[in-house]
Formats: sequence, structure tokens, C-alpha cells
Amino acid sequence: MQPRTEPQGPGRLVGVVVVLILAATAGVMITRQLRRPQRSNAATTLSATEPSALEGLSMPWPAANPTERYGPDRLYEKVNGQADLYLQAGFSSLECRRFADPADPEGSIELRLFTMESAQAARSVHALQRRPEGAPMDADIDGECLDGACFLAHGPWYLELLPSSPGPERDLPSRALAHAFVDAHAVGAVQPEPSLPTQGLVAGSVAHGVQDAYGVGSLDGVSTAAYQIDGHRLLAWVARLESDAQADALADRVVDELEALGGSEQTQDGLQGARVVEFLDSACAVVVRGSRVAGVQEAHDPQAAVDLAARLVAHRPSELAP
Amino acid sequence: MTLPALSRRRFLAALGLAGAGAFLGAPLGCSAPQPAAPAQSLDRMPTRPLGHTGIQVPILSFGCVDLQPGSRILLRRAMDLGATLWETGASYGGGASERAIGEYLQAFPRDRDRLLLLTKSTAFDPDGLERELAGSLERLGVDRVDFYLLHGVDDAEVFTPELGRWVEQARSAGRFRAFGLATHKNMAPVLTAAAEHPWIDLAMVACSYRHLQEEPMRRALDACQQAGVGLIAMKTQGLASLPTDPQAEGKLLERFVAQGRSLAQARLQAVWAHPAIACICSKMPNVAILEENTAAAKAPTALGAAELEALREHALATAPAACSGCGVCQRAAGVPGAEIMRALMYTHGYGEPQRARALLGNLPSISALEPAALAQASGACPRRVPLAQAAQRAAAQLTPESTQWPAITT
Repeated sequence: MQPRTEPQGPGRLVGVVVVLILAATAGVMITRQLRRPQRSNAATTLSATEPSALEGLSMPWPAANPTERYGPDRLYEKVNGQADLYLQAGFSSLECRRFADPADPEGSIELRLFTMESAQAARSVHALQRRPEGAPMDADIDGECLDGACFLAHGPWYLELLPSSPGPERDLPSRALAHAFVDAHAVGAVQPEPSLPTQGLVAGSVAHGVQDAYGVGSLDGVSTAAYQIDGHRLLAWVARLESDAQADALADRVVDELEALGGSEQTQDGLQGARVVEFLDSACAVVVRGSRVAGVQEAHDPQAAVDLAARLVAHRPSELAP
Repeated sequence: MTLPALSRRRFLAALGLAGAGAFLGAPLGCSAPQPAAPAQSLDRMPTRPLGHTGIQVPILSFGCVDLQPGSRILLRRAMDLGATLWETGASYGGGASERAIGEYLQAFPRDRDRLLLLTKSTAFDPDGLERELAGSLERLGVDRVDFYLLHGVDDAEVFTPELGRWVEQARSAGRFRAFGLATHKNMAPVLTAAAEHPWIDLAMVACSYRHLQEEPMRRALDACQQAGVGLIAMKTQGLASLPTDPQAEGKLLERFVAQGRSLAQARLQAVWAHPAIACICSKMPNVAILEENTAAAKAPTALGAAELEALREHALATAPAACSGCGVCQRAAGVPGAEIMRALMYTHGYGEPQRARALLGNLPSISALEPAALAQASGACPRRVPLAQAAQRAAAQLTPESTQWPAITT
């Protein structure tokens, strides 16, 4: 076996230079990797002058990236086809920030903060995407958690906390982040929904300004809600028009649309102004009172549908959606 | 001629919806134009084979992104009209869309046999896919779906051997018939990579007549077609971030209206005319739009070669001014090119200068952008958008210091 000989003079110098070049190349590559933008790189990063509800918070986990903001124009880039749901409800901006798990370099939770035009709008977008299988958040927070993700409405904000690796073990940190935000942004207590009668109302189901409600083209800008009555779920809508004539016209359009699709209107001897259309093994009711009109879709029983619709139009709301 | 201003609802509709149209005719921007399906009965929805899956799909699929429980009227009508491929996702409405479909199928279980279900996962790893698929099947009330997709793939690195093994195992277990992905960004590289994996059967891709003029996209579509990856097009109107030339649009509009079709319908037809595209997915939130689209999809009128050429010429003529919103200019030179171009689109395409000004108002002054930075940004732009001209135009028309500021009205 030949003894190893160490390179001397120029040969050793070349070797050192090669090693330095390789090290520098690796350094550049690592730096570039670290500086690679995240998937949502098309977003606008908040400038120092723009206020953000996420800035200055004392969060239990450290922030892993600067806050990114999406306006109405680019919302679709973050949430794709779901953007319409927010835009139609009254969307202002979306801010996103990831918070890193101190105990897991791979783990993080992304906080998506949707700022809506009003608390009502925030509750509406939450209502349209409630996770009924989720566990309720604490009593003072209107939200639910599922697989370590949390979803809640708080004042004019709708929040989503989405762990990088969903699972029940993320439940506590997600809740902690949610609490940190809620504690930093005091809002008034959530009031009972004023526009709809509360008996039988499924909590958190009320959405306002819904377009094409239940796939019916005539039902644009109405309020929708779910009721649980006598063991049956009833899906309702209600609207206040500017005049009695407009309310009558809306009722006509809805009934006409249902009939055009194969529904048949049933004679109603009882309640004045109530109309029932039977359709696909279910009953749809429409009731008009003055400038108010309400309806129930896909009810198991025509009378149950009429009764609820009648209650809805008789309710004296303080802020019924127009 | 100028186009009328669009309301927010119409603007949203233009982004997410479509008219519809026939499917025959020469393809746009592809080498071998052949209609995928010859003459068919107008009484039913035309179908096409979806890649190598062996599954025939309707050329128009029903996008269920905003679907809520209580929509059986809409779903039954979609069934009756032949829009029997229903596209949903675990994330749509927090699962509300899948629950709505599940409730419908619980009420009308026989319809399952006439229906193709497509749903998607936002998780890309086996554990996440397992969890999301289980949730989707539960909400849908079925033991399998026809198509299962990764939702929002913009990086081919997600196509790992580990993922491939999970797909093969889950498909063999009968939990879905075909597997794929949906991509909205960085689409050409993602599709090209997808074509190299035999366990990927289909892809949903944002694809408009403008995309069809781009060589990387054409090559990617060809690669998918040759590999047997079935393609479903979405975002077919291509208006999301593309400024338009009102005069050119007006001429096109006149041409198509004279033929009894809208520009939106023509744009759809151009996508259908590409032989790689099996289906267009369109969100149809009410029965009226559903009926309009499906009726047009069954119409016998084809987009002729002359019309396709007119669309192609329009796309090419306006391409230098068209921005895909990729953000390369921002990263390369700190120039918010996408915002500038979108502001010009609002002003000149939709007649909404106030909206344009609001957009620019959130940015540092574009008047202060350095010429060198603008040149660097244009040089980095994949489409070579002339950002110096665009910034100059926007500064002249849309900034408070502009002399033209008061002259622009809605």
C-alpha cells in the first residue's frame, strides 16, 4: 500500500480555492432557498404605514413571515373560487401570517384574517361555512375547531387558523392564537340575531346578503337561516323590500321559478298571503306581509313550512337586511 | 366603441362564469385541429373521453363552489340538463358544498349512478389526503368519488413517490376512480411534470383562449394529451388580470353578436375547440345561468376557423399588454407591475377608474418609479409587458397629480 501524500504548493492552493468556491456556491444556494417567496408570493406585503390588526399582538408563537395582504382584486389568488363568498358579503381585506411552532421547525399555523365591512358580514361568511362537526370554541368566542383548525367571527373579522399539519394536537395552539387575537381586539358581546325569531334558530346559521340563495335566481340579497323544529331542519329565507308591491313581486317570481322547474302550487285555505309549492318530495312556502316576504325551502311538511314563514314575516326586526 | 362598465356582480360573473357554446371547430393554437366528438344529438349534453381514464365526461361540468344545503332544485336541474359532472372540494364553504351534494344524494340515491363526483384535497401528503378524503366521503355520503384531486398545485415538487404510492393504493382500494390535480398558478410546469407521472390521470387548469396562445402552455397541454392526462379547463374567460383593448374587444363583440353568440360564448368555444380539453368547469349559482350554459353547450353552432383566427389574432395583438399577474416584476425590481396593469384594465376595460385609483392608492407613488427599475422589471417579465409605458400611462391618468384626473368618469 502506497503511503498517502499530501498535495504541496500550487496543488494545495487549487484545492483550497475549489473548496472555497463550492462553499460560496452552497451559501448562495441556501440563501436563495431561504429567500424563496412562499406560495402566496403574489400578495402585497404590508408597508410600515398600513395598519394591520395582526401587528403588535402578543402571540404565543413567533411570526414566521411578514403579514401578507390581499385586497378584493387578488383575493381569488389565495382562496380561488371561494372568493365570491367573501366579496358578495362585503369584503375589505385578507391578511395572512404564519406562526412557527417553537417545538417543531416544520410546524406552523397560518392565521387568515378576513376583515369584512361589518360584524354582520363577518358572521355571515362564517355562517355560510360553518363546520357543524367541529367542537365549539369557548363560550365567549363564536367559532369552532376541527382537526386543529379554528374558525371564528369576532367583530368585523372572520378568522381561520390553519395548521400546517392538521390534527387534534394542534387544537390547543390554534385556540391560543385565536384567544390572543380576540383578547387584543375587544368588541361588544355578540347580540342575539335581531332580524329573525330566535325560537328554533340554529345558532350561527344566519347569513345576510346571500345571492342566489338555495340556487333560486330570484333570491338575491336575502337573509338565510336554519331552524330546528320538532326534530326537523327547516331552511328559511327572509327579505324586506321597499314596498308591498315589490314584496308581492318577489313572491311571484319565486313561485313562478319553482313552478317552471316542475313544482306545483297547492291551494292554501288558511293563512292569507301564504303560498306553497310542492317540489321534489318537499314543500316550499312563501309568505308575504306588507313589504316583508319570507320563505322556507325543502320542508318535510307544507304546514311546518308555512308556520315558520309566517313567523318570519311577523317578526319585528330592528335591522332586517333589505 | 367602448364596452359598458361592468357591475361587481357582472364582473364576478365574467370571472367565474361563462356563457357557453358549441364545441366543434378548429382548435385554437394547436397543431392538429380535430373535434373530439363529432355530431351528437342536441337533446343531450355532448361528452368526451377524459384522458386515459376510459370515463366519458360532459363537456360542461357543474362547479359547486358556492353550493349550500337546500339547493336540490339546482342540483336536480343540473342532472336533468346533463351537467352530471359535479365539481366540489373539501374546502368549499368549509364542507358545505359537499354536504349539500350529500343531502341531495341521500334524498335521491338513484341519481348517484348517473353522476360523476369530483372533489379535492388541500392537503398534499398521504396522511392529510387520507384524512381529507375520509371527510369528503362522509360529507358526500358515498363510499367513493370518481375523481380526486390535489387542490391548488403550483409546484411540481408535490409529486413525490410517496404520494404516487398512496394514490395507487387508494385507487386500488376503490376510493376513487382517477386521481389528479387542480392548478391556477405556474400551470405549464405543473402540467408538464404531471404528464410524467403515470399515476396522474387528470388535471383541472385555468385555461382561456389567451393561455392557448402561449407556447409553454400549448406544449404542456400537448404533453398531457400524449400522456393521457385528461384536462378540465376553468377560468376560461381569462379576464382576471388581463387588461383589454376596448376598441379591439368591441370589434370582436360586434362580430360574434352578428352571429348570435356572445364574446363570452366565443371564448368558451375556443377552449372547447382544443382537442386536449375534455370539459369546461363553470360555476353556475342559479337555475337561469345553468340553463343558459347547458343550452349553449348543446347548441349545434360551431366556432369556425375564421372566428378562431380572429380570437387568436386578438390575443396575440393584445398579448404585449397582457399581464398574468405572476409578480416577477415585483420580485425582480420592486415594480408593482401587476397592480399597474390591473388598474389600467379597470379603467379602459371596465370603465371603473375609481376602482383603479383605489388600487393604486394603496401603493407607493408610481410616478416615483425609476426608469431603470421599470426597464429591469420589463426585462424580467415573462411576457415582456412594457411596464415603463404602462406606468407612465397610469401616472398620467390615475394619480391625484394627474392633469387627466378629473376627466375620467365612470
